[in-house]
Amino acid sequence: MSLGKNTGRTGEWLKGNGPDGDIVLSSRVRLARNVAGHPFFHWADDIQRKSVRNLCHKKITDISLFNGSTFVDLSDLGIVDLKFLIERHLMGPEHAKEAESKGLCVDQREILSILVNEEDHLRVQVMQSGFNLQEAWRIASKADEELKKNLEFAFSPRWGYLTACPTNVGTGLRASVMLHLPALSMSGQIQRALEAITKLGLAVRGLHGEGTKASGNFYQISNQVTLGRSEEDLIDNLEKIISKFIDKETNMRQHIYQTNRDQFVDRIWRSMGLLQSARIITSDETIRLLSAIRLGVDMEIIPGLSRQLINELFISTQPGHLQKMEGKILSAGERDIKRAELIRRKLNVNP
Amino acid sequence: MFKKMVCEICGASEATVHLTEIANDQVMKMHICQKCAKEKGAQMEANFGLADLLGGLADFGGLPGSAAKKESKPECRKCGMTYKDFKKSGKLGCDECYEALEGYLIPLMKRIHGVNQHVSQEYIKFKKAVSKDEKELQKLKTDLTRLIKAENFEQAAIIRDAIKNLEKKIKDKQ
Repeated sequence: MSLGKNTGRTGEWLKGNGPDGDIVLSSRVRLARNVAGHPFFHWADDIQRKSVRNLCHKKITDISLFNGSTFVDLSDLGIVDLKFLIERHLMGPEHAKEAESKGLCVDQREILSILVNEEDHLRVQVMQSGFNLQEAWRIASKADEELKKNLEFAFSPRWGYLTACPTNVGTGLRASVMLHLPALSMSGQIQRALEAITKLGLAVRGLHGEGTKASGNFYQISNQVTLGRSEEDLIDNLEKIISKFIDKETNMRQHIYQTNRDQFVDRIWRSMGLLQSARIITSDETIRLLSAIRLGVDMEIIPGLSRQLINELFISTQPGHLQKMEGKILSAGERDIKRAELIRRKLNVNP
Repeated sequence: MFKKMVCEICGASEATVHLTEIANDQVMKMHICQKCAKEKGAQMEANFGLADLLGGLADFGGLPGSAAKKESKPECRKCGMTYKDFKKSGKLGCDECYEALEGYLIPLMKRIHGVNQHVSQEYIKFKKAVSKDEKELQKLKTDLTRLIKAENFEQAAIIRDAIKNLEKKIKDKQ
């Protein structure tokens, strides 16, 4: 795969034009599937793993729906490329481990990706911009149907789709929504709300998925339960909860703006000032400041900046992307300088 | 003057950290130094993942009276996974493990998902198919009794074989 062509490209989900794009960054649906008769990835030896990867690769390329998609053998990639793919949310950090027998199939618009030999033999993942789980589910379901025609999946009437981990069994479906909740975070209401949702069979994670902490006021909310309910039911349940979060965040933004207008606007413009002037900046600080700017853009406090530009900056300022752009390995210190340069350039300020 | 306590792990430095661990209803006290405590802490953190949580759940919901010895016996004939392996990794070995370890999985699934039965279009179809087969089975059994009473053994033998086949079919589906 010439990953190079993805560097300057914007994944469809980053465009910021989806429904409720001011609060919802992206919606994602993933399906976990295993090929019947083959041991699960963690329990398989190297030969078995490679045979599953080759089988899946062959079957995927046979399917016309995936024409134009690129299939990469992860063993061909270096650490920077792997980071790059993780930062673009095309795969999780888990998939970069033991990469020698793993594969990844990505379509041109970066909407659909298929991870081969992650925890399960196949993980079909669909990303959409904004709050659009329905469309993500429609695409994932179609891809699943096509794969099912070519591969026999491990399935039992009692347990549904059989997965390596019992937490994914049944539908194998994980639907998740990435929310930007700066106002609820500022008001301190976020913790209570997040605690409450874990009691409803949902889980909360940070910007980069499993095992990551919340940064930049981004929270990923997803279903935990996968068994005993239909796919539509699981998605419907998540949608209802997300709608509540969108309402609460919208109201809180207005409330803070009306009651603490000066402080609020000051905070946003100060963040802008820092990003426009900094010569050295860490990834953490960047995410924190970009979060404030995104809020400013969404509330029309900062004119002339597009949401897409800010969304892209969240991704392109990450270590993998910076190194990919420079075409070489950079130390943390060098990255901080390159990052500051990139931000100043993108925010239209003379260097 | 009090004698200084020595670390129980390295036996060299002064024990300043006092741990109380409760395992299997036994209270264990440990007196260790800062350095060893840090290492032990890192170890505990590294080991404490989803697998442990699942293992914990699985333990609690295990079969009554199941001995540890039994857990190391291969449960899955196809891939050789034992219940002990499953508890360690929190992951099953292959598609057939679900059947082989079903006795353990039923209570575990209830804990994770609140239910232990998949719901899907396939399942609804399957339920219908089973009830159809079961109805047929009932009918054949009545026929068999009638034929034996009438001493029509030739016909009864055919029905008996049909019952056997149907019973196997139902069992295979479950």
